[in-house]
Amino acid sequence: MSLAPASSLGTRVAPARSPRRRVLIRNLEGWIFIAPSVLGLVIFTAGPMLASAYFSLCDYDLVRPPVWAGFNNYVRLFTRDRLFYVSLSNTAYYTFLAVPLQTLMALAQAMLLNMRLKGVNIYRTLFYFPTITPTVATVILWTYILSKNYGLANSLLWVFGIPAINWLFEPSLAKFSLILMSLWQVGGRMVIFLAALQGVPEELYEASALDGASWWRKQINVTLPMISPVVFFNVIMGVIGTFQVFAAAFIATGGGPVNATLFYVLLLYRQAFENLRMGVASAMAWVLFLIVMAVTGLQFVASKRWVYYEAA
Amino acid sequence: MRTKITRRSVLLWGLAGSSAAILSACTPKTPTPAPKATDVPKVAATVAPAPTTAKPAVTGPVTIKVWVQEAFGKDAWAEVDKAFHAAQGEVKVERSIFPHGDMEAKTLTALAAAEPLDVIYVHPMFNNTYAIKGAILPLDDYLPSLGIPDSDWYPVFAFHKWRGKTWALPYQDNPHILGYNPDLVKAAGLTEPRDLWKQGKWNQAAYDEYAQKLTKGTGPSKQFGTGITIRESIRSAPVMWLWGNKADVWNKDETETLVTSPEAIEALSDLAKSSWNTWAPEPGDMQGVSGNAVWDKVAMGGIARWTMMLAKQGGKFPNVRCLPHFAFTKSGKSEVRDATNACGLFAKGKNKDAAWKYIKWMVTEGHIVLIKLGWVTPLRKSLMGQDYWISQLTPPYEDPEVYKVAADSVRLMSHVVNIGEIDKLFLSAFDEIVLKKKTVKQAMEGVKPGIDDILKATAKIQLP
Repeated sequence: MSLAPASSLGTRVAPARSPRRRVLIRNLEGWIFIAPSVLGLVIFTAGPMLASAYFSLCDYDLVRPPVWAGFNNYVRLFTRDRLFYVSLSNTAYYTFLAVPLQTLMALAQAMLLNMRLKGVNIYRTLFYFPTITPTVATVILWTYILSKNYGLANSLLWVFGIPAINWLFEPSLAKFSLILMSLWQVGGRMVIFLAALQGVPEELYEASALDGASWWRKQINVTLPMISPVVFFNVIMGVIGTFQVFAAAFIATGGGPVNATLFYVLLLYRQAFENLRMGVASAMAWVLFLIVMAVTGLQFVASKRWVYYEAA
Repeated sequence: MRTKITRRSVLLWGLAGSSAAILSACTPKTPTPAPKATDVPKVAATVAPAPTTAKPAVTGPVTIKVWVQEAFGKDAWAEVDKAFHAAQGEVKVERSIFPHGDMEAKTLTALAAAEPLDVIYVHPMFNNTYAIKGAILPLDDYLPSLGIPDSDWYPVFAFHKWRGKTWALPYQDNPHILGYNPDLVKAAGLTEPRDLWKQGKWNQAAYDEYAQKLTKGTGPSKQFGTGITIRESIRSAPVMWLWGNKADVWNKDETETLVTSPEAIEALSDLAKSSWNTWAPEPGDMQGVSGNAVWDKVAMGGIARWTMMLAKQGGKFPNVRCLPHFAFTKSGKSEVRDATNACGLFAKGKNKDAAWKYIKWMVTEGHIVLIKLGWVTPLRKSLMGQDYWISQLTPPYEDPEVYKVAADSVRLMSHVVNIGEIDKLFLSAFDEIVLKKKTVKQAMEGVKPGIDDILKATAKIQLP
């Protein structure tokens, strides 16, 4: 039985389209829907990256048009700029000490906050607060806490008869002091660990308890393997973040003393906005990009040995 | 009939909304109404005579854009603008005030963006950079119309002269003087340094002796004999010590630093003494101590008129007496540093004649307005004896004789291009000296190649 003609029912029937045209229209509609995101990516990310790549091959002081210089900026960085290597080593020191400490701190906090306690939600909020306080205010607060003569840290040490420590202005201690500062703001990672801990099946703990596992054994053989993908994620993000450390050094120590806290991005900032060497700064940005890519790639390769994906 | 929301309808509505937003953003602004006749200030009877150059006179009211740094605060700048508008009716000032730290980057960004500024703030640190980048124009053609004889200006007037051209003119300066806390000196049983100065006995040996004897105690309650250390910008205490030891920072061509000479090493070792002997505080020692409280902890230190005025604005002078800088042993004289706030003619400005009118007024009449407001020391010898200058000083904290001696003792240091970058290299080397990681000779020899590279590179750059 055939359908009555559309016109007799008062409805309109769309004219027939070819399959190819239908696919084209669907694709076009899809592109239009994602156009704002794509445009944003092109205009605010990809475009500046390409411009930066070009400027890294130019002599550019912001005021005059860029002048092509080939790889001069890169050659200058690797052969003539002593501070380049100083900043790299400072940043590497910071990253390879700060990331494990921050990860351990975040995990420890998450494990504490995973306990079934009265008012645990209040504790979770309090532990997360430092993460949302503005960085500048946090650093200034910490410079007072770590003040040689008037700070809380030294006041506590005096109680135990330990003489005052010049936390921020002793070259051997300045970086470590900034790492200590950073341990206060691990709330973001803590929350991620907390979610991962809550996803570990209880049956695994019960099974291990039946096998006579101690608390410590449970953490090593159950908790850590089960949350290893999240640990991996936090370590990757931590490494990427610490390679770009800037605010604490800029505000608290200015890169001193004796360039002890002259980190890579601080040097990049100085080249760009104080020395007006945009070309050199762009070259530094691309070198940093390649270093971070390489380190991240190595971490992905290494992750096959220790990250356990349940789904796989 | 129920309306069905389809993909197509969402897209069409989205397109319509975006188009409406874009069109409204692109709508031209309504033109500003012409100023009413009552808005134009009356021309004062004592207006300056017309310039003798052949440049065409400004016709009709002109608004110039002026960028300044925040030194005096909004109220003082408002007074300056009011006085300028009252003095003439042709040029109106549209002023923007910025923190000092932002000025250089903002000004160069404005240049890159062809922002229509007319007059910009020029500090000696920015002067040569602006000149080389074409941000400011030389003022030599305009100088004859200033109407002030050269002999009336203190040495600081030439601070913005570089490569044979004058790039900016100062309306404020701060010659370096010394201050001390008289109560701390009295408690130590010492004669006041002012008395030594008046007896002609205030010299480098006396300063060192006082720095030592005024240093007392340990820990948080420690009192320091002096606040002057080697851990300062090369433009500050270090250059004065270099001059005092017949040394200098760089050669006349600005192609090489001279800090490795035996005289320079001796000078910097002298200055470093106050840190090695802990007469002067380390950076961590003064954390949490600010404002007038500094003078309860540090018995002697460098000071300037502007810092005294800032303290006064806070409602109270610090417990300080002023005196000129001591005479150095080797040179036998006191040559002090200075720093100016100056006006420059923005290269891409559209109203150069009106801008020069403003600069000329700022450097002459405007400077007097600032003296009367209590913010500056006179730049001209003829103003040092004026009642409006002397009457607004506050004894016993301030002494006009001290400012006069300081103004006469100013020696100009060329602020080479990229001096900020060079400064950071010096500061790092000075840290190494204080922490005894290197000797003075090693530190200066270590820093010289990097500084010479920068100097040689910038010496090659031609003026636009």
